Order: sequence, then structure tokens, then C-alpha cells
Amino acid sequence: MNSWLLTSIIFVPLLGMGTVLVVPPHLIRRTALLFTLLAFLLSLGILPHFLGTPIQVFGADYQNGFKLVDRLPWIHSGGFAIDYMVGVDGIGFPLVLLTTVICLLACIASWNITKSPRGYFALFLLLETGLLGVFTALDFFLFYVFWELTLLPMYFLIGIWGGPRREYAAIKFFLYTLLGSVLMLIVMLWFFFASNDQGAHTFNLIRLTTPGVLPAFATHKAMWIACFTMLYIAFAVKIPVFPFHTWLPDAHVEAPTPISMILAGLLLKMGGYGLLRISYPILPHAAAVQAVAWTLGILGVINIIYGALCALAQTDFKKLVAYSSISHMGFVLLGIALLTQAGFQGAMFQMIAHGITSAAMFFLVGVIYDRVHHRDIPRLGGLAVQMPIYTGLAILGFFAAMGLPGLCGFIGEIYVLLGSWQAQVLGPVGAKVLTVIAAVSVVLTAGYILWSVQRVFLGAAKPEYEGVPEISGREILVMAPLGALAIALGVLPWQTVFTFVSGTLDHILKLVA
Amino acid sequence: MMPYAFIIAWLLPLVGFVVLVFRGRRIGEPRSGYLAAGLMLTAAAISLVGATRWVIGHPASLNVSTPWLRLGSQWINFGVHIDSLTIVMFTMVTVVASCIFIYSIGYMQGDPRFPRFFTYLSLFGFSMLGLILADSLIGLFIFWELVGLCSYFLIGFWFEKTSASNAAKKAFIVNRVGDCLFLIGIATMLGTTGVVSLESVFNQVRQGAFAGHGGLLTFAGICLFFGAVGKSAQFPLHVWLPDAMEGPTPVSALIHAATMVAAGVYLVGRIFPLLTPTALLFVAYIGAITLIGSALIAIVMTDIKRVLAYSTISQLGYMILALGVGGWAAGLFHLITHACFKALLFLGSGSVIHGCHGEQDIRKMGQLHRKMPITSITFLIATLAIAGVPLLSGFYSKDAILASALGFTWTHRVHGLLFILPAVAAAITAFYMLRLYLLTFWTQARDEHVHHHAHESPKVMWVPLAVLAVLTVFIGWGGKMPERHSLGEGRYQYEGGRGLVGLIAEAQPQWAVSWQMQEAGHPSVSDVSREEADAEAAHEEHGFHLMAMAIATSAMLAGVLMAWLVYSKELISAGKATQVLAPVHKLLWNKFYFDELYRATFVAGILLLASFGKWFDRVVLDGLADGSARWMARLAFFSGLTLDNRGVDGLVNGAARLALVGGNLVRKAQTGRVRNYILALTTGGAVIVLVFVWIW
Repeated sequence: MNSWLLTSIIFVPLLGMGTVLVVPPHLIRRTALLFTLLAFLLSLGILPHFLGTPIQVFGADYQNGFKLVDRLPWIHSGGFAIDYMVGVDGIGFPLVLLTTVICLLACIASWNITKSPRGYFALFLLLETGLLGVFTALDFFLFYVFWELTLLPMYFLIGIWGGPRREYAAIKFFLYTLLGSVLMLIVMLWFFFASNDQGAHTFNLIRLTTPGVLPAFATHKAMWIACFTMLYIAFAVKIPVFPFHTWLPDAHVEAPTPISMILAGLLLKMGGYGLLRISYPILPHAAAVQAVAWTLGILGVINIIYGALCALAQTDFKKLVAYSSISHMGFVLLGIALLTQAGFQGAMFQMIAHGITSAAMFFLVGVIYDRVHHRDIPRLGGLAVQMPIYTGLAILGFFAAMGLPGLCGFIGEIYVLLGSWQAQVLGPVGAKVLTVIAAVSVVLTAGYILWSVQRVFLGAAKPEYEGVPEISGREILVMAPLGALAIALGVLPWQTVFTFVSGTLDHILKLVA
Repeated sequence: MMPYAFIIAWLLPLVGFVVLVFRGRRIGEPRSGYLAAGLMLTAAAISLVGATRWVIGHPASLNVSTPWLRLGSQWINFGVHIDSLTIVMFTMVTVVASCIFIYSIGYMQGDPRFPRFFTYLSLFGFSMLGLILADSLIGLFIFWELVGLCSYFLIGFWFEKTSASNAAKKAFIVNRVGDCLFLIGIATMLGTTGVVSLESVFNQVRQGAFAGHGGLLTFAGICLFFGAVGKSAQFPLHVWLPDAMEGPTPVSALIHAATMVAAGVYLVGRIFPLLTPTALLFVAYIGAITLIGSALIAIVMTDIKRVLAYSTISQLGYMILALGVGGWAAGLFHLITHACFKALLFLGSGSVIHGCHGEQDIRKMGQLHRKMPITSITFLIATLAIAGVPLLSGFYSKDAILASALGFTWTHRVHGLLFILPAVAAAITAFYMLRLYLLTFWTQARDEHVHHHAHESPKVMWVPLAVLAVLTVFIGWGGKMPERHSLGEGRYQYEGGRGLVGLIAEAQPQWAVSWQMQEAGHPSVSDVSREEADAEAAHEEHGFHLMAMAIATSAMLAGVLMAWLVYSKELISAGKATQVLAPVHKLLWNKFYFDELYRATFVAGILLLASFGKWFDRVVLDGLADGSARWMARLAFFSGLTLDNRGVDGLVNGAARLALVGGNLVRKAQTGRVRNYILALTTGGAVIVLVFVWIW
């Protein structure tokens, strides 16, 4: 039954970590690259399983939509029944592929790490395993283990390889996420002991979504609202949602460039993925409560607008990009909260699109930082004269994030906006008001993106940046695939994303409705 | 066959763009220009052949579409829609663009970013043609944004200049304000009708998708119209267009005069059937305000391109007004004629700037007629056309607009301004255009240096001028509006149009919600009385045409006479007039202070909010987080050291660890203890939950 494909994808980076620890120093980088590349190639092997009509691929209901399931008994003692169980469906698969792609590119971007590369790449590969595990785990306990597994390497990667305030940023990141993890842990155990799957308790995420498996939850409204809230906080910290977002700008500013790429491109997706994988399918009646939809919708809009305004006020280039992430991830929350097909699809698309554009933007900022050793926007300027190719690629990345049609950012945003306009859950007018407010971000985003493009790239060439080298071949190797993906997803959104995700998303929505 | 020819013509500039993006620098100057211009010329040739074929005989419209993506459960097709308006617009854009591409080879000669210029121009060609072909609101929006992007790049082409990069940014952001509302309009349409292609939206609306929600339909129409307000630089979003003149002059000619800015008018023409009477009235007033305000500003401007920019805004106002008062064909006819003569004017001004080595101030010009005769003559033709001299194209289209406005105000007397303003502006237009021409080419040379070095432009630049001048002269000839016959329920059919205007009018909507609503106000009429009404309407329309023609011509003559007296005969001193009317002059010179107003309100307001957000994040939220960590640390020291540091169980230990780590936030990482701490927390959490479960 087990195909071991997913298992090998998850553990190839871990194997890489072991190898990195023993190879001679001059082979460390190449070893890491080899294993991230291997993980990427293996993850392409998932693709054939998702071709075909949605009905065949995703089954008739949510529970039948999982592919490539590997299942082994893991801890079965003391009344616990914990399985090693992984599998992917329409929302897991694109994120797995995104993870292997971004990690591969981030690994190339890490080429100039000189401070103890052995530790760096070992932790880097461990992080990749953690991420892949989160996006594939189908057992809540396993999910929790992988969730925590991403925390430690990230903590050290920021805390050791980061900028001047790295320790503050690392601990802040750690504490915020841990606050969420604790709440998730409580919910996990609560689910376990409340579940009744043919007479036994279960951590199985698929079983937990089956009606009747959580009997007590059907009747106790307070119980599912409490669980939903705790889970929401756990995921909101990751997304991150106002007011739990302040760890993000600090973490990004201090993190080294490739780690920022992974942090924004992948770690934030764990929050949105968690909502779609755990909160909504297991607690569908909580999600359908109007107050919950209002709260999440309003918080999503706050994220969108507040993030854009904060971005407008920043002078640190990396912080600006970090706040733009907050703004863009607000669309994910808004799209999910209002329970429409288009909104769900838009939220999922936005996660992937943002994974591409945010990784691109953080990388682009890193390219400048490597050359001029600061990120102070007012001091930059005129780089288009010295670095025309870099500027071209940068404009592609930034405009993709701005939501220019033909590039990936547009599709997610417009889906969420069009979807939330039609939402019924907030009554006839409520959703429209939220949509109109969210649409203002179209202007604000253009404001901060164009303003920073102007201050960084345009204007007369500055003498202090005379002789700044043009973007290197290795850097183009990182940026070109991201640019190509941004265009491909923007022009053919159906073929590249929606065809894979819409079946599962429709199933989740059906559970809620 | 036909649609595919146009699709190929549409894709040719994209090929040019892709090639130039990757190989532009290697292809170099002037070959990159030849490549782009060659592809555009081919597209023009294809569309001319297609247009001829179309005129010989054609169906009402052609549609080709392919499923593109699924929104919710609704498939969105990506398709093209071809009707007479598409054909005319497509041909106009390819022909004018060909002229301007060729001209640019001369104008941009020696520019270090010569290939880049043609890269952007090619992308623009592709986007603009896509906009014309698009068959759905979403398709329109996509290309709408793309032409805006090209405009951004090209305004900021000389990005070393702060003024250029500021202008580019301003253009994009102001347009985004309109686009934001456009998007809301699309959401409303899609949310209510559930379809996106324009044809199906019309059908849904006709079948009563908005029945009982007339207000929502008006709202949606005005939102969609705001997209046009941004792109076509209508009040109150007109502020970006004058600044956009920072771009190279061929860009001003192509994008900011002939094609892209007219896209707003085209959009209103396309969504016309959806606009309720209220929305149309809104459209008409916006057009009227714009056309008079910008015509007044144009009187005092001294930069040759800025005069033309305000003139463009004013002429776009005419088109918008025409659509608002129901003169659909008149508005779009003016779009086409204006494209020819305004492109000619801009290219002429570019020729002047080129000949005067970058000088743009008309106060320093004069007597250039002898130095650059071809430019002067072609410029004069365009000037007379825009002023509305009979037999030139502008005369016919402006007359058609004034006739529509007159017809509308005749039945809606309270809206008399909708005729008076454009009539007055017709005189002002003649005045400021003649002023521009006389000061530039005719009057005494005022700057010896500029005059001495002035020279005619090379052939590659003046041939396009000549081509456009020919078009400007004859494009309006032989035109006749078709007669319309009512079919009831707001539906009409058209017969017997001739010439260019007739061709455009064929694409006129046969049904509009405003007509339906107006007719619903009257008791139902029989076929006989309907025919009588048609005949009467045709008769009345003829009357309006004659009256409008008389008024327009008198207004034009008044303006020309005035300009001649002031600037040629100098019977009236312009300087003295400026002194006498100093406050008015100051108001106009500062463009009614719109820039200052927006800067003081919207820009300052948003920046204030932004710094508030930054402060809130840093001080309030971080303060809470850091503060609570510090507070926890104190509590931990108190409980751990003062109260009891021996019999500590796992739970308390965990809390203390949390606090310790928190307390050391600004000091050092306590990396070694993290594992213990997770263990403690996990156990603690588990205990809590077990207690919970046990209680239940």
C-alpha cells in the first residue's frame, strides 16, 4: 500500500543533513544543493497523481481525496495511538512542491554563507524536512512534531546567522510561535480524548473530519468555539495576523537572505495551511458561525490595510517587504474567512503566489544588501543605471507582488475580492463593505511599491554606488525561475494551480456549509 | 478566418517585445527600431486588409473564446470580440502606432536606451490591441492595467530626472484609484449576474438581473466609469496627464493622446448599455466639467506639450460628454478623428522640440514657419481640425457631439449647461490652439539662439507627419449617421450609415438599460406611432445638426478671430490682459490648485496614517510584548527565588523558564534550555487538558 514517495521526499533533506555533517568542508554546499535538488526532483513525481478530472483525483468527498498515503504505526502504548501517516491532497501537494522549489533556490542563494557553513546547511536541511512534514502529515501528533521541528532550526538560523539584533529577533520569533504551539497542543489532546473512532481515540486528521468522530463537539458550542479560537491563535501567529504579527518584521530584518526567503515563502504558509487542513475541516460548524466569519474577515482586512500602511512608512527595505507580506497574507485570511468558492481558491492561490513573490522580493533586497551593505531606502537610488538587468528582474518581482495582471499576485487578489463580494455569510451588505475596504489596498500597494522602486532604482546614478557589480549568474539562477513562475502562474492560473487545488477546496467548503 | 487574422496582428508586437527584452541590446540601434516598427506595420497591413474585407460584407460581430480559468463554479473565458468598433479602433491604433514607431526611430536617435524604448512601445502595442479585442470585463481590466504599466515605464523613460520618475509614479497611482473602483464595479456585475463576458452581462441585465436594484446598477455603472475617469484623465482624476508629458514626445503622441487615454472613452462605449440614466448624467457632467476646465487652463500654459496635454483632456471630455448624453457614435467618432490630429499635433511638437534642441517653451519660439515648413503646415492642418474648421475631420466629429448635446438639452432643459459648456469650450479651443500655432510658428522670433539653430526634422520624422495630416483631412468625409428605428423595450436597429462614422455607428448598442428605463416611463406605443416617432426624431436630429453646426462654426470663428487679434495683429495685448485678470490667471496657471489640494489631503493623510501604523507597531504592540515578557521575568524571580526555589514542580518551573527566557530578550539567547522548557510546557499543557477531560 505504502508508496514511500512522500516519505522519501520528506526525509531526503534529513539524510542530506546527516551527510552534510560528515563530508569534508569544501563539499558542504554542493552536498546540500544535491539533496535539495533531489527532494525537488522527487516531489515532481507527485505530479502525475494529480492529473485527470477532479472527481477521479479528489474522490467524492474530502476524506477520499488523499494520495500517496504512507502509514505506519508509531507509538501505540499507554492508551495512545499515534501513527506515522503522511499523504497529500489538493492543498498539500502544491505546498510540497513550493517547498522543494523555494528550498532549492534558497540553497543556491545561500552560496555565500561563510560563517560555519556546516551548521548552517545542516539546520537548513532540517528545516526543509520539518516544512515538508507539516504539509504532508495526516496525524495530528505527527503534524505537531513537524510543526515544532521547523521552530528549532529557524530559531538558530536567525539567532546565529542573523544581523545585529538577531538574538532579540530569534527569541521573539520563538516565543510567539511557541505561544501558538501550546494552544495547538491543548486542542490536539482535547481532540484526542474527545474523539471516538469505533471505540478508540484517534489523532488521525482524516478520521477527525468524519462526522460523528467527535461526538461531544456536536452538542457543545462553547467547546468548539474554544478549540477553534485556540487553533486560530496558533495559526494566526504564523500567518501572521494582527496583532500577533510584530515578530515578523524583526525576524525578517535580522534573518539572512535565504532564511527570509523560506520564512516568508514557506513558514507563513503553515498558518494558512493549518486553517485549511485542521480548523475548517474538523470544526466546520465553528467556521460557519457568523461572529467567527466577521472576526476573521475584519482581521484579514486589517492585515491588508494596516500592513500596506506600515509598509508605506518604512525606510528599511527589508522591513518594507516584511510588512508587504503581512498585507498580502491578509488576503489569505479574508478569502478563507468568508467561505466562498472563489475566496477559498483565491486564498490558496495567494499563498502560492506570495510564496513566489515574497521569496523573490527578499532575495532581491538581499542582492542589494550584499553589494552596498545597507538597506536604507533613502540612501539608495539610481541603481537602474548601474544594474539594468537586476532592475529589470526586480521590477518583475515587485510588480508581481503588486498584483499586476499577467503576473501571479493579481489572480489571488482578484479571486479573493470577487469571492468576498459575493459572500453570504455576513448578510447582504457586510461582505461588500469589507471588500471595498480591502480593495483600497490596490492603491496603497501601488503606492509603497512604486515609491520604493523610485527611491531605490530610479533617479540619477549615485557616485557612491559607482562600480557596483551587476547581478551575477548565480543570482540570476535564483531569480529567473521565480520570475518565470510568476509569469506562468499569472498567465495560466488554471493549469498551474487551480486545477490541482479546487477539488479539495470545494470539499472543505462543503464540510463547512 | 477573420478573427485569427486580428489575433495574429495582435500578437506581432508581443513577439517584438519578447525578442527585444532578451536580445534588445545586441540588436541595438537602429535595428531594434526597424524590428518593432516593421512588426507594427505588418499588423497595420493585416488590419487594413481585414477592415476592407469587413466593409465589403460582414456579420454583426465575431467572437472567439477559450476557457481560461474557473472562478468559483463559473468558467471565465478568455476571448476576443470583433465588431465594427473593434475594427475601426484596431486599424486606427495600428496605423497611428506605425507612424509613431517610425517617427521614433528618428526622434530617439542616439538615446542610450534606444532598444529599451522600442521594447516598451511593442509591449504597449500588444496591450492596447488586447484591450480593444477583449470580450469581457476581466479581459478589459487585465489589458487596462498592462497599458497603464507601459505608460508608467514610458513616462519614466528618462528616469534619471526626478520629475520623470515622479510623473510616472503619479500616473500609475492616480490610475489605480480609478482601477480600484473599476474592480468594485466588476465585482458588482459579476456578483449579480454571475457572468463576465460583456455580451452575457448585457443579456442578464436585459432579463432583469438587477430588477428592483436600480440603485446597485447605477452604483456599478459609476464604479466602472471611474476606471475611465482615471485612464482618460477626467476630473477629478485628471491630474496625472499633464505631468505625463515628461515622457518622450512620441510616447505623449501615442499613449497620452491617441490611444491609451482614449481607452477610457472606449470602455464607456462598451459598457454603455449598462449605464442607467442617472449614471449617464453623471458621465455627462464629468465630461462637461473636464472639457471646460482644462480648456481654460490650456489658454495660459506656455509649454508646448502642456498646452496639448490640456487640450487632450478637454477633447476627451467632449467624448465622455457625448457618451453621457447618448451620442454614442459621435463620441467614438471623435475618438478616432482626435487620435489622428492629436497624434499629428504631438508629433509636430516633437519635431519642433527636436528642431529647437529640446526647447519646449513657446515664449522662446516664434517664426519657425520658415525654418520648418513641413512641420508648420501639418501642424496648422491639425490645429484647424481640432478648432473645427469645416471640411476637416474634427469639424464633423465635434459637430456630431454638439448636435447630440443639443438634442439632449432640448428635452432636458434643466441640463442646459451640457450644451452651453461644450459650445463655449469650442471657442476657447480655437483660441488656445491658434495661440499655440501663432506663437510657435508665426510671430516674431523671441529667442535669437533658439531660432538661429532651429532646423526641419529628418525625413523619417516628417513622413509620418504627412501621413497623419492626410488622414486628418479626409477621414471624416462622406460620413452619415445611420437612422435608428425603435423596436420597443429599449431596443433599436440602425440603417443607412455611410463613411467612417457610419461604420462606427453600426457597432452601436441595439439595447441599453437607459433606453429601456426611459421607455418604461412612457405608456406602450404601437408600431405605427413608433414609426411616426422615428420619423419625427430623424427630422429633429437633422435640425439639431444644422443648429449645432452653426453654433460650433460661429464659436470657432470667434476663437480664431480673437487669437488672431491678440497674437497676430496684437491689437489686444496678452500681457495687459494677464495683468488685468491676474487672480484668474494665477488660478489657471496653478491648474485650479488640484495638485496642492490632493497633496494636502489624500497624500498627507495617508502618510500620516502610515506613520501612525509604524508607531503603533513599534511602541504599542511591541511595548506590550516586551513589557509582558519583562513582567513575567519579575514574577518568575519573585516566585522562583523569593517564595520557593527548592520544591519546584514541573509546571512552575516551566513558567519560570518562560519568564527567564522572556526576561533575557534583550540580553542573550538561552539556547541550551529550550528543550527542557518545551518539555515542561508540554507536560503542563497535557496536565491541564487531562484535568479538563477528567472533569467532563
